Amino acid sequence: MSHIDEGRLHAWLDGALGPQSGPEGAAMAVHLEECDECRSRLEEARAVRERARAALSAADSPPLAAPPFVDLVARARSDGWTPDDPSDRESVRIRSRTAGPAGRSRIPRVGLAWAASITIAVGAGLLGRELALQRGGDLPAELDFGRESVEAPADEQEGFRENAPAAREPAPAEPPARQKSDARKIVEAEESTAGRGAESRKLDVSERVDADLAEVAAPPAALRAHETIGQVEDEESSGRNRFAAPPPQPGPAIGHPALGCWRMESGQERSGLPARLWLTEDPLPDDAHGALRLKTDMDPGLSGSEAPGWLPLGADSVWLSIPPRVFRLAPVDGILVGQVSDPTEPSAADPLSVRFTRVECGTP
Amino acid sequence: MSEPWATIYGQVWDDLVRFLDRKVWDPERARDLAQETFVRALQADPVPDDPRAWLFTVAGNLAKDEARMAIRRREKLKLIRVDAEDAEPVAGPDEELEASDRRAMVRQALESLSERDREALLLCDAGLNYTEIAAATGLSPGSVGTTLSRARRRLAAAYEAQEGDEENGVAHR
Repeated sequence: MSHIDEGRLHAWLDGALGPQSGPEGAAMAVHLEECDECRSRLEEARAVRERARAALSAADSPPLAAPPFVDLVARARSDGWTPDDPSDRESVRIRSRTAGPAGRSRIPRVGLAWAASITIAVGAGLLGRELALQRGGDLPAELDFGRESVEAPADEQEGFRENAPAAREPAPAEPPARQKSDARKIVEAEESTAGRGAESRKLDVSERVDADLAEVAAPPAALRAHETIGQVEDEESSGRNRFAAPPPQPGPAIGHPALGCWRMESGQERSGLPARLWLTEDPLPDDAHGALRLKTDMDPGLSGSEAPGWLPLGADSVWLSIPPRVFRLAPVDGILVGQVSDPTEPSAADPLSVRFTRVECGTP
Repeated sequence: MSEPWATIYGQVWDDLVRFLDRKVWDPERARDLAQETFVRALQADPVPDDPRAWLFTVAGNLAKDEARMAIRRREKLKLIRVDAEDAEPVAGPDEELEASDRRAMVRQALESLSERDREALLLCDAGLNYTEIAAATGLSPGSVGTTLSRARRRLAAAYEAQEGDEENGVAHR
C-alpha cells in the first residue's frame, strides 16, 4: 500500500475510516502499524485538527438555552402547519374527544393565536409514582423511570429545600384507607399497562386522558393535585366523577373550570426523563384574559415565570416547563388555570375559568 | 424517519446554534435562526431522509439569507449616513473585549477559507459525520476528508497568523 494521503488521515482521525470500517480502513490500520512516515504524518494531522478545533472554539459564545420544543410546535401550528404523522411528533400524541370532531384539532389556529396554547408540563406520572412509592406501592420496573433521580443526593435535595418557599405547608393528612386506595389504583393502572407494548400504552393513556378531560372539571382551589388524581381515578372506576363538568357551552369559558393534572406513562423515547404532559386550552374569546397560576405553595421558580406564580396566556403562549430534577424533588401540588380580570395583575380571587379540551404529551 | 424531531432537537440544538453563530456572528440571531430551522423542519413534507443534514442545510441557507439582508441593511445605513464610526467604542470588561477580539479573529480566519471548505469545517465541528457533511454540501463522501484537511490547515494558519499580529499590535477590524 502506498502512503496514506492527508484526506484519509483526517478521515481516520474523525472516525470515518477505521479498522472496522471496511477493507480500506483495515488496510490503513495495517499500513499505519508498519509505516513510520505515515504514523508521523498522522500525528501532524492530529495536531492540525486540534489547532483548528481550538481556533473554532475561540469563537464560542456562552450557550443559549433551547426554548421548549413545544414552543416551536406552537409556532409551526400558528403558521398553518398541521401534524399528520403522530409517529414523528412527540408533541402530538394524545387528543381529547372533547376537542370535537377528529379534524378539529388539525385546523390551523392562525386566528386564535393569542389563545393558541398554554402548556403545562406536569410530570403527573411522577406525582402518581411518588405517591405510590411514598405509600408503599411498587411500580413495575418498566414504568419506574427516574427512581434514582427521585432519590437524589442529599446535598442536591438540601440545596433545593433551601430554595423552596418557606411558606410551603404540609398537605392535610388523608385517611389511611383513602391513601391506600389512591396508591393502589395508581399501581394497578400502571401494572395494567406494563404488560403491553409501548403503543398500546400510549393508546391506553390517550383513552384515559380523553375520558378524563371530557368529564373532569376543576376541583376546589385548595385541592391537592395528587388527591385529584386519586379522586379522579376513584371516580373513574366507579363510573362517576365528582368534578364532572357541565356540558360544554358556547361563549366565554367562564364557569367551565378544569384542572390540568394527569398521570401519564411517558419517557419511553427519552429514558431518564419524566413524563411530560401539557394541556392546550380551548380557544377563548378574543377579549378574554387568561393566566395560569401555580397552585398555592408551589415554588414560583418552577414556572420560570418572571411574575411569581403566574404565567400569562395570550399571544405569547406560555408553556410551563418544570425541570425534571427539580420537579422530582418537589412534586408540584397542583396547577390551577384561571381567567383573570387583569392579566398584568392576576388575583388569587379570580375565578378558575379556562377549560381544557386537548391534552398533548411529549418531551420538550 | 427513525427519530422524532423532538429528539433531534435535544441532540443538535447547541451544535446548530454554534454553527449558525459562526455564520451570522450574533448569538441571539443564531438562536432565532435555529428556531426557524426547526419550525421549517416540523413543516417539512415529506420528512427528510437525513434530518440532521437537512437541518444544517436549511440553517445554512437561512444564514445566507440573513447575510444578504444584513448587506441591504448596511447599504441603507450608509444612505442615512449615521456617523457612528467615529464614536468611541463602549468600554466593557476586559474579558468581553478579549472574547470579542477572539471572535473577530476566528471570523476573519474562517472568511479566508473557500465557502466549501468553510462549510465542511463548520458542519464537522457541529458533529455531522462524513456522510451527513457530504449530503449537506454536495461533496462526495470520499472527498470530505481532503476538504477538511485543507480547511483545517488553512484555518489554523490564518488564526495563528492573526494571533501573531495581535501580539505585534496589528488591528484586526
